[in-house]
Amino acid sequence: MYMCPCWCSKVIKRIFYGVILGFGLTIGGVVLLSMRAGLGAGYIFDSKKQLMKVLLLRRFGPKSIATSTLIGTYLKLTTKALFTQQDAIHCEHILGYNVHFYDYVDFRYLFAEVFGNEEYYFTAKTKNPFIIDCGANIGMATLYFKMLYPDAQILAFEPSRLCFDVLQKNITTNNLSTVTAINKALSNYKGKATLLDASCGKGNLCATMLFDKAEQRASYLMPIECDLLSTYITKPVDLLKLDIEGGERAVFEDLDRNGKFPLIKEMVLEYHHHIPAEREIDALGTFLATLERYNFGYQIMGCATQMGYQYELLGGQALIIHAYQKINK
Amino acid sequence: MWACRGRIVKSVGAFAIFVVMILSVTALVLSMRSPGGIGYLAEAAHFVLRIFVVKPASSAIPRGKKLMTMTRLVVAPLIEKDVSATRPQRVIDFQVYFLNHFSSRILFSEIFVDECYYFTSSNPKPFIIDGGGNIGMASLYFKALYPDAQILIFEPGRHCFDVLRRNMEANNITQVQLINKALSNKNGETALFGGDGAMGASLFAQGGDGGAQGLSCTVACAKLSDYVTRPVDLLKLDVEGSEHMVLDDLVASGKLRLIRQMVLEYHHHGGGKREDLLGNFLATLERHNFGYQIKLCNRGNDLCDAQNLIIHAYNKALLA
Repeated sequence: MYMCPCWCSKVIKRIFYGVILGFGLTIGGVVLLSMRAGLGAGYIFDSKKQLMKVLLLRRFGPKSIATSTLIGTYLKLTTKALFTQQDAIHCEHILGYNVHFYDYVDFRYLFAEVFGNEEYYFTAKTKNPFIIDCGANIGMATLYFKMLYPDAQILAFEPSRLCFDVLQKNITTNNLSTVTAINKALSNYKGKATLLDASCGKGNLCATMLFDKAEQRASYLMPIECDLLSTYITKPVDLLKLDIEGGERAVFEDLDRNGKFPLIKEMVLEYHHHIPAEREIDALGTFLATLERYNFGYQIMGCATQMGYQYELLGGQALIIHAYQKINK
Repeated sequence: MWACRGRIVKSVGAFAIFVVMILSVTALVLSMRSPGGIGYLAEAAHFVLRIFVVKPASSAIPRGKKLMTMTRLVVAPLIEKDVSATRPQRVIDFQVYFLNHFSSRILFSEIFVDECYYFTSSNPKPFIIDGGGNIGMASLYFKALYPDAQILIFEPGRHCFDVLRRNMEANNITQVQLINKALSNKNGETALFGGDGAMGASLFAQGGDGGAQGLSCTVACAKLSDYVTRPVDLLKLDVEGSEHMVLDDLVASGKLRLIRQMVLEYHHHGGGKREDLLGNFLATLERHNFGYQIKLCNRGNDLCDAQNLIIHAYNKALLA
């Protein structure tokens, strides 16, 4: 047997202890930093869990960004969140865009959802598809569509004033000339409405028009303008992206009443089942039946907060439904 | 002194490497003998690791037991090539005969690891109907949840039914009634495709998950409504595409209101026709005052691929 000089084992031992010590110090340091940044001690573990989940759910087939870019950007955002103040508009250069946003943690979540899971991936027939982005937030999905189809024409709706300002900024800084942003909510009527935004001055990922009268607080309520989606659909739509936190049924009602479904080729919808204000209402069947009536086929592409993970029959669930006109396929 | 310690460290390290090498070579050799080839190692690792990744919020089976059983099921094909239902495997606290190694892993993973049929009942002796009982894994799981449960099991496949009966006898399971019939919307006979296979036999030629299934045999079929004469605490339904027929029968006979909860595997884009009927199905549940939760099992690679969903429906009036 090859005899190793005795200093070798000493070096191995030192390296071993060094690695353990380094690892412990790093974890401890990150935990302290995340507590100082107000993110909670479990931040690093949550981040690991979220990244693992995104990587596990990564779609097969075509991807818009490489997995290494995804992991790199995710780690960059995770680290930067530790060293930034919470109440300011930040700007970050990712994937060739300068993107403005309010909060690193929310932004990281959006990034992972849109670019990691690629929920909004679709194949268009033309080079300049007409896309409607409802519930655009700060415009991540819009940027994703622009990345897939640089010549796409996009109409983005965002009711919250706070998010809309950042959305506008993102459109102008990145010279997205064919994108039009409209500061309105979508529903089944035209006029004034109230939005529940519990973020206190930052943009929110789940501002909704459906809320319990009991849980509302005056500071959370935001007066907004509401409009009918059907008035904007005058030509064929290649993709309708709809993530409007519970308002999807009202929008469907409007599209159905005004007969606009035949103009829509494809849809990616986030259906909010058992949303807090509507725990007792089960309407997914009626919702999908509307799609069936207009000859749409559909696939359930994702299911956030799955039944098996939180056993509660009234628990909220978000399903991602990708619907397509069958004649076109 | 340092030299002495160095030697110990080194010999321990060398021994560890030696053991790992021996183990991996054994696993490699054994896996090459197994039907799956070397790729079997990856599959085995996947099934074992799932136990740590999937964390059901409410669980009736301790994780240690899951791990022990899964290891046993994964190692079994390396030792004996053909299981041929002669020797039972120990599953949690049961002795279970399987039809083949592959189905043993899948069934155990779905039913005991994911616990997709978990439910709560205020009745300590719940009445459960197990539609599509296969070899009885789901019924054994229900017995693990509620030892006093009364279970009515439907299984059309002859082969599966024999093993089902043997499993119930081997574990001294009482208060179960076994019926060798398919569930459909008529009484009589029907063709069963993939008839004697271990899993996935369907009343549709294309099978519940869209795969072509050639072999067919004739089996007896019955209406579920004839058996629903008193309140049912749980209807478990995994009938590979016939769930529409069963639901329609329950609606037509007015027996749906006797059912408190349902856990069913819905086969979307299945049955060969690739139809979109899920909305229709859920709308029927809504009309009869059922609420539901959904679990996505797979999403397929294409927009019209077959996909399975688990729907846990509950009668709002009876559960309130």
